[in-house]
Amino acid sequence: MWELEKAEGFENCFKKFSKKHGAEAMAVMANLETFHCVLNETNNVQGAKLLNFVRKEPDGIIALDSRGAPKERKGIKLKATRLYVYAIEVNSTLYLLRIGDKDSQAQDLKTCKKMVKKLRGACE
Amino acid sequence: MNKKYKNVSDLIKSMDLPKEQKQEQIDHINSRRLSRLLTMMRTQKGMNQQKAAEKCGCTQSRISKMEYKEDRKLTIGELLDYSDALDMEMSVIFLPKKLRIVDHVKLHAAQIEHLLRYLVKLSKGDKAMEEAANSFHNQCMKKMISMIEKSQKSLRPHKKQVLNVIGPQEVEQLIEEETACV
Repeated sequence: MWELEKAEGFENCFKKFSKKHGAEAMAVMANLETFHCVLNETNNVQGAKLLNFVRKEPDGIIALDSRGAPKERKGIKLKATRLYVYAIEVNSTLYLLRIGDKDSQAQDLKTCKKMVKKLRGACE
Repeated sequence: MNKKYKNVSDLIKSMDLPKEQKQEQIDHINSRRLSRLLTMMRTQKGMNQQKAAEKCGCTQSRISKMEYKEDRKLTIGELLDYSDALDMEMSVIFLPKKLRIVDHVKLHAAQIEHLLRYLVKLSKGDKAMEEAANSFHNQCMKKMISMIEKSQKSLRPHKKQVLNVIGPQEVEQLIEEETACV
């Protein structure tokens, strides 16, 4: 059974993001639920990465996008969103690292890479 | 170490967000249970959307749309097409709300009984079929008994504890004397 864990700072990051982009946050969390269910059902991270809302990033980081969200809400175009997660098979845990949009993508990935280094170190 | 969560809804509940926002997010997740199940079944079969679309005779984007639709917006026709693509049969069951787990077990038992009776009816008159049905009954019986036994064994047995009460020595002596007199 795969479990979910919030990495350091994720909650604050999510809180800020969802305040501005509620619909995107909602869609991305629904996709996270699908990703988690598929992982539980198949126990195959590589297989789950084939889902079409999943994007492979460097260092084994997985980005889930906001596919499934309506294109517009109250006349405002929705932002392309990424929820960055990292799966550690040894303890069957899916770590939630960060959430952000295309504008913050480079910075988000930089932060995620540092977090992954830390998580790998802790698990070894 | 941070707390771990078994599902996304529990994780959302744990977050410091406005109550309404949390509820809206959980409702959104719950509104896509059926479409999520479609995605899970397809990935279990190792099939991508393109392959499913080819089998279904539709476009990949239609498959994609089905997988993101809210359950209330999915049509029976779409579900039938999707199950066809996965080489599966779709069945609809209406059950009373708030059915207990034991009622579910009883329901399945009744279904098994019904199917076994049907098997007996079909095999009657044909010696080979009757033998095969007989052997299947034996297999079923063994499997069911071992399954139920396994489940029962995993229950934690509650040992009865005996409570010993010992009083001060003088009182104990008094009790002994009194019982000796009787």
